[in-house]
This record gives sequence, structure tokens and C-alpha cells, in this order.
Amino acid sequence: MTPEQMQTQLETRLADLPGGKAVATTREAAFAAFAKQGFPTRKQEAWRYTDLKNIADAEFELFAAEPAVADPSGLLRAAGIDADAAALVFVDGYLVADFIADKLGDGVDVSSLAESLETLGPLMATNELNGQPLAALNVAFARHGVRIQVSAGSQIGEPMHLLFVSESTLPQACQPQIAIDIGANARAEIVIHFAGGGEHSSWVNALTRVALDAGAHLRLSRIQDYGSAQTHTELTDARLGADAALQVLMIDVGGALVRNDLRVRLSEPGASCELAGLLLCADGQHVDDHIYVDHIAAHTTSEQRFRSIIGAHGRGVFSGKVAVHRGTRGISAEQSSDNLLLADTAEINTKPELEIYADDVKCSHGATVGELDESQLFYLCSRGIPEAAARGLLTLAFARTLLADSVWPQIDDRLVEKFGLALPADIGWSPSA
Amino acid sequence: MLVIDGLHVRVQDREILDGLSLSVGPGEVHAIMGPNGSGKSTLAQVLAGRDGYEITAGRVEYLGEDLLALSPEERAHAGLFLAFQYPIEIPGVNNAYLLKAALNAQRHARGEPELDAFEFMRVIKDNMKLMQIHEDFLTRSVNTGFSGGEKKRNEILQMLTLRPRLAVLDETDSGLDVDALKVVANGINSLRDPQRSMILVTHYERLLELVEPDHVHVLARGKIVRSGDHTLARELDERGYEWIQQEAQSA
Repeated sequence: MTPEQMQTQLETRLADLPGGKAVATTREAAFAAFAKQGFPTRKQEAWRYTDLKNIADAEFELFAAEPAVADPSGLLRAAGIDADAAALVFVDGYLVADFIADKLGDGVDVSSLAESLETLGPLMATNELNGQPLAALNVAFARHGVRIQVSAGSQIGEPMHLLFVSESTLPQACQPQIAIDIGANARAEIVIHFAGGGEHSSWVNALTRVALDAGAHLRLSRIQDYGSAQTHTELTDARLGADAALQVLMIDVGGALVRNDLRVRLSEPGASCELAGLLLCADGQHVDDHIYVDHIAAHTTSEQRFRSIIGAHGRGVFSGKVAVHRGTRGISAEQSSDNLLLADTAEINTKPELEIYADDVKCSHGATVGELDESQLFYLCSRGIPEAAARGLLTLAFARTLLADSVWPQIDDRLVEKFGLALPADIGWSPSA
Repeated sequence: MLVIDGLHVRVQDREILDGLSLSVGPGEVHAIMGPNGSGKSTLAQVLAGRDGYEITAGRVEYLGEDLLALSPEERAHAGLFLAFQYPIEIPGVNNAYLLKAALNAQRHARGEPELDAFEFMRVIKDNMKLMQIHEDFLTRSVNTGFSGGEKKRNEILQMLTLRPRLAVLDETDSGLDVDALKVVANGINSLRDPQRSMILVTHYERLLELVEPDHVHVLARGKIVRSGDHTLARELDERGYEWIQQEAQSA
């Protein structure tokens, strides 16, 4: 779809889009920013391994109609979310069910994107969209999403789930926005699920903005479990205040073409982030994790632990960049990328990148690419565990060591299905230590 | 129980075992001693079925079957157990899981009913007590972050749980302090039985004071150069290995 075609569609609908006039100006500016940059191409270093040509050339419905959803609880179940969890269910962008009620208490304020645009304005300013054409596209076309505000000092015990399901059988481009603001010294946990899609090829281009005030703590999990034909691109942009702590876990299971951009700015002293990712792909899937941690302030720490398991004809990309600004002191940054290839045709491209302009810095990074460990396999087999089951067990263990506790119990089943793993069949699976 | 006849084994063009022969009857405990590099661990690994060893001649018969034709798991199902010299760390798989999966895989292969969680706990509780292993051990990852002594006690716990017919213990005594050595020896002795055989591969004599072998063999340059009763172990401890190697060379 050419930028001109998109622009015509945008202009036709501009008056109906949420946020009113003030946002309309931002939308036009954002679209101009997108049009100027165009879709990313592989000529750009950050997109060297990921080709969006199929998206750029395809026709997508940019303003899909609201779907009829009979059973939102069923969607929760299918996504592995407890029936009594605090959850919002979105289908093709539209909020179709609100299961939050009073489960989270007074400290959490949830508003629709439309409300939030009207009262608080656009999610990102136009000047932040340089180098981010897909985020610019999102800002231009966003109609759906949610803004979550946790007030200062609130301790939210229950995780909040945001489930985004693709149900459309037509090719459509959905551009959800998620804004998360955690007030000073507040603590919350949010799980974003992307699911659905089946065999139908549509595109979700998500934008998530996270702001943590001083001393705030957020545990953010993002689970992508689409069908086999979905395209997914996202930018998660987080800014941390003094002594704020962000934990991110990204799990990618499905999708045909997936690109996740995660950008964390440690803007004030004492801010810290722990980023972890588990990337699974096979059978022609392409999944690209692109991480950027920006140590802007002194005494900030970051940790990146990413793992991938790639099966036959799967292609994974991990790019982890750490930047340390001039004049900052007491920086600690760790990064690891461990990759398990299950077949000769599995491919991983892993690239650490350190840009350090300061002296008082403790930085480490390491990458491993390999098959299952022969000595571990032999050990298990020598105890009588059949080789196929030993391979299955070790593959699960490789994933489980990354997932400290069970934010998403379905991961074991997904691993077993995806890679056709055998397991010691006799007992329930609880291998994590 | 086990007959090894003229076994030749190569690793990357180097001959490690050079015509080794050994016969182990039911209920017998054999010690295989020898200097470093004599081929002791190679023998243990080959018996358990580790890849990477080229068997160029000889045969190994176990309970009347061709052992070398079996996969490692089939050997385990047939009652063979190797206690590793360097037990392998497996992060992400916990000890209880491994023990139960291994026990049930073996029972399944032998056509015995599998144990449920309750029965399994009953089986391992006494074994853990005997090996002085704390209960929180069950939820820890296999050998991960264990001390040397814990790893060795874990090997013996696995052996006690799996109750093999032939146990090969590869330098189980190395790296143990006196107390841990006693615990390990108690574990081994508790399994001695007229139907169960053991091969203790060791460099030192001290384990053999606690677990008295019926036969002691000295392995040098890939073959057994001397055999005797348990007094041979003491003699080796006093005189070292050199005299035997020299005797073997001049013979």
C-alpha cells in the first residue's frame, strides 16, 4: 500500500478518529513523519535481517469494523488467562470485555485510548518519532487501546492482563496503543497477550509507552502467541525515573513475521531494568528482537537475558544495544544471548552492540549458539530416559531456566507442540527448580 | 554377569584400551585401580555407552547379551548404572523430576507398573536419609551449584533409587572428605547383594578400606596387568603404581 493511498484513507477518516482536533494535527504530523521515512528496509542496519516488503506491498484495511464477539471469556481461556483474572479483552483493536471490575482497587485508573487522547493528548510527541516510522504510523492511525495509570504509592497485588486477539479473516492493519504510567513508589504487574490470527494474515502494529516515576516498580510481561500467518511489529518505549525498576519478559511463540523493538531509557540515577526474552520459531517464521537500553543517568543498571529456540526453517534475530552516556558513573550493564538450534536449517543472527562513552562502567555480554549439550543428553540417557525424551526435557529446561516463575503456564505445552518434543510421558511436567 | 574380552578402544586415533579382559560374576565387587591415563574412565564410559569411543576389537557380554549393541538407555533398562566421575549439571531439571522420570522409564521398559508421587517419595525418603541429603535438594536443579561432595552423594542416591544389577562407580571417592567418603561407602555397602555386581574405578585405596572388594585389578596402558584380592590395593597404596608398570613392561 503506497503512502498516498494511506494518506487518502487517513484524511477521509480524520474527523471521526478519537482525540479531536488537537490530536488530528499530531496524526497528520505523525503520518508525514512516516511518509518521509517510509517502511524500514534491509538497507538500514537496524533492519538488516528483517524484511517488511510483504507488509509494504500488501493491501490492508486500516479501519476495520467492530467484530461481533460472542464469548470473550472463551478468548481468555484460550489464552491461558484465569477466568477470575483482572483482564481487558480487545478483538481486532476493539475493547469487547472488561473483567477488571474492582479487582485491582482504587490505585488503578483505566481509560480507553479515546478518553486518554481527549484528556491527555497523544501518546508520543512527533519529535520522538524520528527513526521510528512504524510508531509514527501507529500514532497517525491509532483508534484503540488503553491507558493504565497507577497512582503514587499504590501496591497492586494482582496482575492485570491485556488480551489483544486478532480475529479478522480479512487482511487488516490494527494499531493498538498502550500507555502505562506508574506513579512514584507504586508497584504493579501487567501482562500483555497478543493472540489469535489463525491462518489469516493480518498485521498488528502496536505501540506501548511505559513511564515509571521515581521508585516505581513494574513487572511487564508480553506474550505473543499468534497463529502461523500473522505479522506483528511493536515498539515498547519505557522511561524510568530515579530508583525505578522495570522487569520485562517477552515470550514469542507464533506469527509469521514478528519484529519487537524494546527501548528503555534509564533517565534518572538509580533506575534499573531486567529484560528477558524467550523467542521460539520454526517452519518459516521470522522473529526479530531488537533491544536498546540507554544509560542516560549515573548509577543505572541493566540486565538483558535473551534466549531463543529455533527449529527447522525458523529464523531468529537478536540485537541488543547498550548505550552509556558521556559523564555517567557507576553503570552496570549485562547482556546474554543464548540460542539453541534444533535443526540444520535453523538460523539465528545475534548481535550485541555496546556504545560506551564513560569510564566507570561494568559491562558484560556474551552470546552462545549451539545444539543440546551432548554430556547432558548422555547423563539423562544413562539413567534410562529415552533419547527423544531426554532431548525434549533439555529443550524445555533451556526455556524454563529463563522463566523464573510461571507467568504463563502454557509455555510448556507450546514448546512441546511447536517442536514436537517427546517427554518422559509418565509424570506431570514440573522441571523448574 | 559381565564378560569383557579383548576390548580395544580408540579415541581420536589414540588407543586407550588395548585388549582389556575382565569377568565379573554375580554379587562380586571388583576394583579397578591404576595411574592417571591408564584407561579407567574410558572403560567406565564405554560400558555406559558414551559416544565418541571407537571400539576396534573385542566384545562385552552383559547378562548374556551383547552390551555394545545397546543404547545407553537400553543399558540402564537392563540394570547397568554408571556413577559419573564428574556428574553433569542440568539447570532447569530438578532432582525429583529426574529421579522419578528415570525410575519410571526403567520400570516401564521392564514392564513394571510406574510409581505415583506417593510411592516414589516412599522409595527415595530412606535413600535420602542414608545419603544425608536434605529434602530441599529435591527441588533444586540436577547437580547445579552442588559441591563436589553433594554431586557424588547424589550419584549414589540415584544408584540407591534405581537399584541396578551392575553398578560402575567412576572415581566416586575423588574429592570427598573423610565424612562424605563414609556416607558414600555406606550407600554403596547397603546395596551389596549376592545378585548385584559392582565395579569400583578408583585411583586411591581409601574407598576400598570401607567397601572391601572381592577382586582388585591394576589397569596400565589399556590392559589389566595384575589382579589380586583386596590386599593388592593396600600394596599399591604403599608402593605406588610404578613397580607394577615396570614389571608389566619387562614381562
